[in-house]
Amino acid sequence: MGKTYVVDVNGLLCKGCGICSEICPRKALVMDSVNPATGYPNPKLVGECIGCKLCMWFCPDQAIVVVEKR
Amino acid sequence: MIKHEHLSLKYMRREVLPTAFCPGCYNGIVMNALFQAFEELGIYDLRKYVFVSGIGCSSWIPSPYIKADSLHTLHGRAIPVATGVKLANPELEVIVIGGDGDLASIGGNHLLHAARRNMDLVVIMINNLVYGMTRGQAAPTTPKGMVTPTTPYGNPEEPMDVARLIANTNANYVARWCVSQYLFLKNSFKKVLGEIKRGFRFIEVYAPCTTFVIRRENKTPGQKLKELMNTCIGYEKWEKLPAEERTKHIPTGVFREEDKPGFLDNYKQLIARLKR
Ligand SMILES: Cc1ncc(C[n+]2csc(CCOP(=O)(O)OP(=O)(O)O)c2C)c(N)n1
Ligand code: SF4
Ligand code: SF4
Ligand code: SF4
Ligand SMILES: [Mg+2]
Repeated sequence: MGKTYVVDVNGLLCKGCGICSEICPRKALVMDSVNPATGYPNPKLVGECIGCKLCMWFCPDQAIVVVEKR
Repeated sequence: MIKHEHLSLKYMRREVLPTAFCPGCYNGIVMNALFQAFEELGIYDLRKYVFVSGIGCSSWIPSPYIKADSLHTLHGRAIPVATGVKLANPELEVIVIGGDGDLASIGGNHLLHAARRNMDLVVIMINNLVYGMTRGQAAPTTPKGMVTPTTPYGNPEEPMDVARLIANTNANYVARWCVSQYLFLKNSFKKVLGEIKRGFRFIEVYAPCTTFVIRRENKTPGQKLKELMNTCIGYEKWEKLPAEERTKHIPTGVFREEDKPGFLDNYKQLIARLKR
């Protein structure tokens, strides 16, 4: 069985820089509509996440987390 | 459902977040690598650590963002203040975080001599190629030809290679990584926090300013990060390149690694000898 992952976004920390969606090797993240609380768009998981954690490491605002689903 | 949290957050002062950094500023990635190093070393309590900085965007990392004691000092003067902290209480681990302007320009002489003395400090220099905080003026690290508010026709000067300069001193550890080389950077932090625990340990992080360098190139911070994954190469490989190719790449790696006695060890030895 392949592993599956949860991707959580903290919409209040995210500044919509797009690094996560551009760095994702699976192109699994897209920048969604603007979050009214901050005025910035937040990423949304639309594809399959392989758990590489690049988005989490390279998010400058500690706004995206990847954890293995159990 | 329980919301999961970024590992960095347990080392940060939540009440001041989000940070004042521009969207996509690479300073936050350097923080992630540093905090991941602490976590992998099993260090959760930073009470033994003091973070010291000068002035600049990168100098904001310790104060207010790191949940530990910090000293936010004058522009360029983080290293002398950190030296004082270390000598007053050698039990403390003292870490300086600052910019290329703060540490290599106005504070350049302090950097050089702390390295020469093999002073017992960890110094992390975020080289974003400009004076970011004051809106992107040229620094001694600005590449030749780069347009900035103070070099509107292109910088006529050659930049200094700070890591290689410090590698020619008596420092115990000198490395440079691009911010795209996340795991190497994190492992260098682990090395100087967990293994080589004395002497001068200098880590340069090549991380162009999102607002005043990357935007001028009409790139997004994500595009630039992917570009750096090809631009940054090991220095042994870089040295074999023809001259015209060299300017297109950033030589990275560990330039110096030793565990010889630092300033404090030598000083204690002197005191012991004089007491005899
Ligand atoms: C004595 C003094 N001179 C000049 C300044 C203005 N100043 C503030 S930050 C800065 C440069 C910061 O550049 P750097 O250290 O590279 O930090 P960055 O903002 O790029 O991270 C300058 C010149 C100052 N605050 N104090
Ligand atoms: S962990 Fe990797 S695959 Fe999953 S969303 Fe993040 S970057 Fe994409
Ligand atoms: S990298 Fe972080 S701050 Fe940037 S868009 Fe993604 S989640 Fe938001
Ligand atoms: S000006 Fe540059 S270094 Fe300063 S916060 Fe903005 S992107 Fe970061
Ligand atoms: Mg700078």
